[in-house]
Amino acid sequence: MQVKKYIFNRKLKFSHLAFILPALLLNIVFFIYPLFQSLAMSFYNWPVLGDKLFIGLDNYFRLFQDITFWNTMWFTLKYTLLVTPAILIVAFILALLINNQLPGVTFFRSIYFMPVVISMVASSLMWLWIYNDLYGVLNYYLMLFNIVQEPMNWMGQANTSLPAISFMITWKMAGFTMVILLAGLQGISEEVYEASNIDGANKWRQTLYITIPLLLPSIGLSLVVSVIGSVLAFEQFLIMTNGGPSATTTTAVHHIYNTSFKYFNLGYGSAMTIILLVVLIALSFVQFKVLKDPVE
Amino acid sequence: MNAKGSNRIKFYILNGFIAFLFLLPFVWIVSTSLKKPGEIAKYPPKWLPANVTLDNYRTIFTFQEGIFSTYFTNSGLLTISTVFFVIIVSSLAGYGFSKLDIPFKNGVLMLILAAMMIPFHGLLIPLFSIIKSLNLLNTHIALIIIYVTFQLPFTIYMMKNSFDSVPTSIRESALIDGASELRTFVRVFLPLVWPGLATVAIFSAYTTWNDFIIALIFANSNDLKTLNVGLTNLAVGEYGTNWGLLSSGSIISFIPIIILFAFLQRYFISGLTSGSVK
Repeated sequence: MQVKKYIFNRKLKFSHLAFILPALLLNIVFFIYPLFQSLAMSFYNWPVLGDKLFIGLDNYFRLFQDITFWNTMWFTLKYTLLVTPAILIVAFILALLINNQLPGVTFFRSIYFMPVVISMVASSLMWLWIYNDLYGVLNYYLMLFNIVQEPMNWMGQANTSLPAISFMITWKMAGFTMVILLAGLQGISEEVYEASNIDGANKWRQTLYITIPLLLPSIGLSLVVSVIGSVLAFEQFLIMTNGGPSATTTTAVHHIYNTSFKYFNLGYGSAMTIILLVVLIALSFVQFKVLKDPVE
Repeated sequence: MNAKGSNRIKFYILNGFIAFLFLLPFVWIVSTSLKKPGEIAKYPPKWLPANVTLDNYRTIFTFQEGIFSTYFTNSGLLTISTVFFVIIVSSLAGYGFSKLDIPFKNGVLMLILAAMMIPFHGLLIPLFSIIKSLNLLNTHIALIIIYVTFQLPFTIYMMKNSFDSVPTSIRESALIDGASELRTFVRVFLPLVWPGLATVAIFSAYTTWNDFIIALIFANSNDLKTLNVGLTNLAVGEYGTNWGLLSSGSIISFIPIIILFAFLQRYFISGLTSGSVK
C-alpha cells in the first residue's frame, strides 16, 4: 500500500514536471549552455570555417592592447554619460506634469510614451531625415533663426552626431523613465505635502526637499535601467552614422558585432563580450540592490 | 480665479506644448510620406504637403517585386508565432512554479529568472555557433527559438505572479471534482489570469516586432528578412536618399504597434516597464 502510494506520487510529480519542462529545456539549451560556451569560446581562435585552436588567454592579452576596442568602450561610456542624465531630467519633468487626476492626463501620458513603442530602427530613420544636411527640417530652422550660418552635416563627425543621437534617444526613452518615476511619485502620500503646506513651504522647496528624496529609489532604478540600455546601444549608431567616420562613433556592441559577424572572429568577439557582460552583470547587481533595499 | 483653476490652466498649457513637441517628429515623417518626390527635395521645407499623394505607399509595396510585403509578412508571422509559443510555454511554467509540487522548484525558478540579468547581446556568438550546428542558420525557426527563450524569464515571472494571486484551494476542489491537472489548468485557471496573459502577449509582440539584432544575425537571406532589417538595408542601399519611400516604410513598420498601443495601453505600459524593471 505504502509502495503503491509512493509510486503514484512519483507519477504525479512527473506530470507536474511536464509543466515546466519546455521552459527548462529552452533555458538550458539556448541560455545556460551558450553562457558557458561564450566563456569557452573566448579561449579559442574560433573562425566560422576551418579549425578552432585553443589559445588560452591570448584573446584577453590582445584585447588589453586593442586600442580600437577601448575606444569603442570609451565612446559607449561618453554616450551613456550624456544620455542618462538627459533622459532622467526630461522624464522627471514629464512625470511631475502628469502626476494628477485631471481629465486628459492619460492622453498626455500616451503621447509621451508613444516614442517608446516604436522600434529603434523607425525612430533612427525618422531623425536621420530630420537631421539631413541638405533637406533636413532642423537645419532649415537653425538657419532661419541665424543659429548656424550654413547647413550642418550633423552625422558627419562624432562631436555633432553624438549629441544629436543622444537628443533623439532622450525623445524616444524619456516616456519610459517617466512611467517608472510616476509610479514612485504616486507612492508618496498626500499627507506629506499637506503637512509642508501648513509649514508654508513653496512648490520648489517641496520638490527639492520632499519629492526628490522620497523618489530616490525610483530614480536609482530608472538610472540603472537606462545605463544598461545605453551600454547596449547599437542600432541607432549603425543606422545613423554606421559607426563612422573612421569608427569614431562605434559603440561596444557595434564593435563586437563587426568583429564576430563581419570578420567572423568568434573567439575574439567572445572575449570582448565577456568583458561587456562583466560590466552588465555588475550593473544588474546594482539594480538588484536598488530594488531590494529602497532608501527609506 | 482660485489656485486650483490656475493650476488646471497651467497643466493644460504646459502639457499641450510639450505633447506638441513630442509629436512633431511623427507629423514630419507622415507629412514627408505624403509628398511627391519633387516636393520632398524642396527648400524651404513645408509642414503640409502641397499635393497629398499616396504614391510612396504604393511604391513601397511594389518596388523590387514587392520585397517589402515579404518583410512585412515575415515580421507578422514571426510575431504571431513567438507570442503563441511564449504564451503556451510561460503559462504552463508559471502554473507549475506557482501551484505544483516539483522537486527543486525554487532553485529551477531562480535559474530561469537569473537569465534576466544577462541580455541576449552577451550570447549572440555562442548562439550563432549552436544554431549553425543545428543547421538552423537562416531560418525563421532559429529566430522564434531565440525570441521565445529570451522572453521567457520575464513572462514566466509575470505568469507565476498571476497564478500566485489565484487561491490554491480552487485547484484542489477542481481536482477533487475529478478534473485532470491539465484540464484544471486550461479550464479553471487560464480564464482567471487573462490580464497577466494580455501583458505577456503585448510584451512578447512588442519585443519581437521591434527586434533588430537577432533578425539581422540569424536570418540574412533577403526573403527571410524582417521589416526592421529590410528597412535598414533600404536606408543604406540605393534607396538611401529616397526619403518618401523610407518615410512610408517606417510608418508602415510602426503603425501596427501604435494601433495595438492605442487600444491596450494599460498592458503596454505594465508589460514594457516591468519587463525591464522586473
